Amino acid sequence: MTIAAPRRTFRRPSPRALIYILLSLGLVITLAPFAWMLLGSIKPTGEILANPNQWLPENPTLSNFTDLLAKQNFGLYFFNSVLVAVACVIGNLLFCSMAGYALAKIDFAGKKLLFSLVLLMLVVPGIATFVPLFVQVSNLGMANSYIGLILPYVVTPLGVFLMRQFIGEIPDSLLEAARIDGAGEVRIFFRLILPLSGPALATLAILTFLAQWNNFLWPLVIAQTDDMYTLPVALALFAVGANGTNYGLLLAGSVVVVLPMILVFLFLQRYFIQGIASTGIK
Amino acid sequence: MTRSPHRRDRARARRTLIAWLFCSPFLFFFLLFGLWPVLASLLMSFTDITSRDLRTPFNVGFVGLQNYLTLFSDDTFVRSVLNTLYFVVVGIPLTMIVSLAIAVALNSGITRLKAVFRVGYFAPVVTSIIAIAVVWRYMYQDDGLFNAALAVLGIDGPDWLNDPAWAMPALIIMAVWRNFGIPMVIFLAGLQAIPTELHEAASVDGAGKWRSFRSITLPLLRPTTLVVAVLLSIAYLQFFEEPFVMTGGGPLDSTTSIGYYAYDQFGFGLYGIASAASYVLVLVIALLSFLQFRLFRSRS
Amino acid sequence: MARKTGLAALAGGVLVALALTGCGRADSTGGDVKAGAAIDDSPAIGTINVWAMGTEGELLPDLVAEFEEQNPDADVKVTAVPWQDYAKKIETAVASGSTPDATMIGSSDLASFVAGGGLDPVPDELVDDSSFFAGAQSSTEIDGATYAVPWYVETRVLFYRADLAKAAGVAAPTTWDEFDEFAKALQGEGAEWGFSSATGAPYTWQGVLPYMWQAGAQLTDDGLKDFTFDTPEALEGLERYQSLFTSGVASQNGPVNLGEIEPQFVSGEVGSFISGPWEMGLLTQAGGEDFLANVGLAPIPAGPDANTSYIGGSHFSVFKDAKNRDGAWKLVRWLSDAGTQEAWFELSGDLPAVQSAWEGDALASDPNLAVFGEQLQNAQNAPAVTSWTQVGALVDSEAEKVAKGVSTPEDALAAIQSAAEKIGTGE
Repeated sequence: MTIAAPRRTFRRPSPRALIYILLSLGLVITLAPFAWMLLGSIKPTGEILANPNQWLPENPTLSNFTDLLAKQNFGLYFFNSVLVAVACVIGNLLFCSMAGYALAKIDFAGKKLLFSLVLLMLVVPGIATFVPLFVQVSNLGMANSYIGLILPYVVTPLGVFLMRQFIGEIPDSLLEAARIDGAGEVRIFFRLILPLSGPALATLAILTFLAQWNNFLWPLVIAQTDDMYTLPVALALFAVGANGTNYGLLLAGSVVVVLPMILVFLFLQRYFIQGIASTGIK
Repeated sequence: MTRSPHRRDRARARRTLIAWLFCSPFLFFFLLFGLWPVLASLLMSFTDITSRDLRTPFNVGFVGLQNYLTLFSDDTFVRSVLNTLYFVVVGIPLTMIVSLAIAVALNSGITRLKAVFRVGYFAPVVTSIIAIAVVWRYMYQDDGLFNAALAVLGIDGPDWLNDPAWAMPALIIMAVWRNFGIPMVIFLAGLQAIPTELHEAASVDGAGKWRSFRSITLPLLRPTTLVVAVLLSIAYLQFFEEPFVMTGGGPLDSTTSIGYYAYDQFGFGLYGIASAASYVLVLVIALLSFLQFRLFRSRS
Repeated sequence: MARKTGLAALAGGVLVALALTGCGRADSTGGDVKAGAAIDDSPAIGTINVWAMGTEGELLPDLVAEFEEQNPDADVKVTAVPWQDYAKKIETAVASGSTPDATMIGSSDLASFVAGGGLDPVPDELVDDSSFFAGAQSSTEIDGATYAVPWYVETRVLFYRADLAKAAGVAAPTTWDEFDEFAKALQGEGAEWGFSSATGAPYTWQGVLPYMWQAGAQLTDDGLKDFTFDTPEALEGLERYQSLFTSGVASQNGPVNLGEIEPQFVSGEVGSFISGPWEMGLLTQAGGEDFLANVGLAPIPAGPDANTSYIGGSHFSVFKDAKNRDGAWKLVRWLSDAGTQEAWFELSGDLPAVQSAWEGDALASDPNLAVFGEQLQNAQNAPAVTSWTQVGALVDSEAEKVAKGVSTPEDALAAIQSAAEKIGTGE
């Protein structure tokens, strides 16, 4: 005869629940400064800097946002930033994966030299090169233009490195099979490699968009008239003065600048999730 | 092998041509916008060029390695090298562990709120540092949040940003917070490329979660880890924004990094010395990356 | 390996090529810089491209509308430039030769731009030098020539909690000794610190050099060829700076970022500090309109020699590569006209660099402004040498060591002098 064991009233939390709890806690800690920024954007400047500081606004106001959006040409700056970022993303996705594929999967003369070149370019910091780069771009007649804003960053060594690493993990057997079937390299690239590189491409897109969206020094230096400014430059112009920073405008501007990034990330994240669906890579 | 050597050469030549064609956009832009500025800045580091000479850049004196020697005889520069190494040695492993842990947690089959968690953990990456510097400064005040939390544990916290011994750790924590989202995203991509069948097979064989992680996941993550390590090295060795916004390199030069030092030198118009400092950085990054290539070499 | 030797060869080749290009400094042609052609009185014509920073950049178009009315064939295009890294922007423009016609420049940055050779000396007789405040005018004279025309100025005065002072029964101090008592009295009324001073943040020198000037120190020789930090007067000034901290009147951990001091002043944590005209707006923001009643202004206390303060502000310069040099100088001349200076004050709140503009209604009526006007009679800028950005940073660094007790004034001053000698004045 089996006796049913008495039902336990206490259940240990499943590992999954534990993970949820920890992740949520971590999220709260991680987002705290971000939340402060959001709340600060609807505070008058005096409250933002008050010491001791309060989390919640005493006199919430939207004036920071209205002041910012009323600034002349704000829409233009936003457009410039979007244009530059999107152009650079498209360029990088295409050109970096092409070069990455060649470096990862094709055996050719000069491969080692080329990859060394990529690695070398990777490590030189932007501040060392911005003056000669500007003189070069200016001599090419590209100063103060979208071309000058975009072209120096339309394909980056970091992107090539990233794609090379990820594409390198695609099994050779797949490519062998395709080659035996008579597919040329171009066909293999577009029909086989790119679809399999979903997560890598999404990562590259995020990193490129981020770098270009927040780029300050280059757009500052290349623009000769203010219709070529991007958002970071415009924000510095409005909010950062010689003797004081307008924190209300700064926080409002930071919120405006952050939102598209979050949207891009959300959109690409969904692509991530689709990307992992049973591809059965390995 | 039935192919004749002649055919093999022709095939290789064709492959070479196609490969270089694939690389041609990168090469084109590199030759146009990458090569000259890098060469020029390298050359500048061997001259005594200053902002006076920018209109006549060839009218400068060649000084060989003098700039580099001057750098290493400058106490502030030597300090900045030590500070940067301190930051990197502590910051990179910390960031990698945090980001990997979160990536693993996010990939562990939880279904709800995935997007929320991902965006939330990525948010610090996209936030402008000037915007959140204010609240971080409040948190680090002597009577701020950090010390309040430490007081609960009975510890009397330091005056973080004003204490030469604790300013750097404070900035490290801030940098980890700001940056772990990117390695997290990259690790996620790498983790998702590992088929679940492998883990299932392992658990059928009786391996626990941790064993499975150590023997299957980590080794397969090598290429991804390499990418993360190289990325972080490049970013962290150029450590600039946190000291620039939070401490101005102080207190007493304890948070001056090589990047901050170079920025100052560019500000003084000393382009020769500033370029030399940048190339010291390049050398260190190259060295560190080389080591990491060794360490995380994929042994498939 | 082929790759290694390839790279080595490349590097070697570059070095050899460099050594062989014969690049080397030509002997600098010494001698006086000659100002360019004089500017006549005809109306300006053509497009005039101007850069201006920050709020000034946003407001300038409104001001120059008047200029365009007076010069119908001229079209002034103002591009607003952020203050952040603006020096890099000007340097790259000069390096590439594609510059606008004229630009606004921070007064303490002018010397380093002159070194770059990109600025056109001010034409003779364009403006009357004596119409400007002496401190502003002298900061435009570098290497024996004048390179800019002062546009607006600012100077530093003492801001103090008038309510705390009243409660303590003390009046604004006029000497160093009176200041010590004053600060202590404020602390007696509940302020944690009687005074707040920068202790190493960038531009700390703007708060340290005045003490040296007040003790009568001259920081360079007359010809601006050598630094003379190692004098008893400079030492007295630096010791005065140190005494603020050792006497417990000011915190050793001074403000690092802009915006830190105002909330502390409003909350009463800090009883007084020295700063410029922009504080009125910042204090209103931090404490509300009503708080201003508690804010007292006074000229800074005098040391043994004088009560010299720091003068800053911005100047206007014209580029050597300007396409419309004539129009640009005419615009600059117009900007320094007393009437225009007054109009600019009304538009922006910037204090006029032209002394006679202060007699106008707009400025004569405000008592707070009177304090600035008085202080401007006795204010100096940093030595007008091209290496000042670097030497100033040096002073910041040594001052921090003095403030935090890591070094003594004697050692710090010796360190400043020896490093400054190595850097040189650039003359």
